[in-house]
Amino acid sequence: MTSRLSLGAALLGVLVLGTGCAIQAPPYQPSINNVSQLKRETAQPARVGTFSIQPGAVGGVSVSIRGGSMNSPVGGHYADYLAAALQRDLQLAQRFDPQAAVSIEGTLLSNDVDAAIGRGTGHMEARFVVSRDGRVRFDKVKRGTHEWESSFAAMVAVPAAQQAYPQIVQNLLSSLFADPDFLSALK
Amino acid sequence: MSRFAVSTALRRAAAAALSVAALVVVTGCAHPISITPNTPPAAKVATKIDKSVAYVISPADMALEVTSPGGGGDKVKYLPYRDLDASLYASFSEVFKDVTKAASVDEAKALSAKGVKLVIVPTIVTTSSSDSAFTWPPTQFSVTLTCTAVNPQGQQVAQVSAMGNGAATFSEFKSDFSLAARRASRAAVEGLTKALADNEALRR
Repeated sequence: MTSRLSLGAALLGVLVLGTGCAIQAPPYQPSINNVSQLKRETAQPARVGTFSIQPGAVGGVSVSIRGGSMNSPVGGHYADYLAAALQRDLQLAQRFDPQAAVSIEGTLLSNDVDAAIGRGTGHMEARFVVSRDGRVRFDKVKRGTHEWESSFAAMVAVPAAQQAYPQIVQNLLSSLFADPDFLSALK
Repeated sequence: MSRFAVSTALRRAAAAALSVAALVVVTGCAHPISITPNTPPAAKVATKIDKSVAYVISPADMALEVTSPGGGGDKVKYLPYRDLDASLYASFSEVFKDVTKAASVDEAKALSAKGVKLVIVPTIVTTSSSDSAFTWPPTQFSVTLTCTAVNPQGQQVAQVSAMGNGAATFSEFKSDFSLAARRASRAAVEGLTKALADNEALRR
């Protein structure tokens, strides 16, 4: 029975597309609240340093959604996505300078999306380190989570999970920018 | 081919089919998409307008969900003001000296005490369609952005519009269901940046 279902699914794939495909996460959408907070609370520019994946971290390279995969549209993995998101927020707040003395580096610890029936959930967790002239001024782990309305039907649940993804990253950066120690480290 | 290899191949094919199933039409469904541009619009302004401005998007507009046609009788749904908020901020930042976001016109006018000279209210109008009977993502999308600028006394200074069209074929949108919309948004925001920068009334 299982083999017949698999064969049927395979035939559907061949008939409709002819090949399998991985979807891409949507581009990061900055939050203007985050940008305004950075602009209001900081004065010095910062650069974005190295962002890497902790070995063995879930969802570092690819996120699984209902049996399919969602890849980062930026670089080769989701640490690149996070770095680009942070850079975009700093740029919009006019606080980004690739030559700045203050550097923000990160390690992606966990990244996952669950397009469950009824309610989808997702999270991203990362360690952020702020340094100035080689001296560490901030070192904390932050987590962003998000929930959204999901569906039994994959044709609704998959795009819903895909579109929800940038909000997870936005919420992670919101928690970072809301930390007075982080803002102080940028000053 | 061994039994294990056949089983693995079938499992992979099933996973691929599940990805594909996300594209197939189911009459009556409204599928969520995003109209956020894929890359930040690249339009550059030679000389910024030396004014601080506030633009207004109310919380109700940020939460406004629009439904428009997709392919095969299905529909797509999206939040245009939420999706284009950062792009509008970037466009205004490219044109004006300083930009603040406000939740209402009254809040924006009150910022005149902090040097805000213009209050800008953007409106977004979209259209979508598809020539596919079997897949739901739009193959054609349009975004029209209209910005009405008033001074703190409430008098209209200028009204500026820009429209962008986007198209995407099946082979392109199979990894990004929103591609036609994203392309339309990018073109509209680039056009808006140029139109704002070229408007003489805004520079006076």
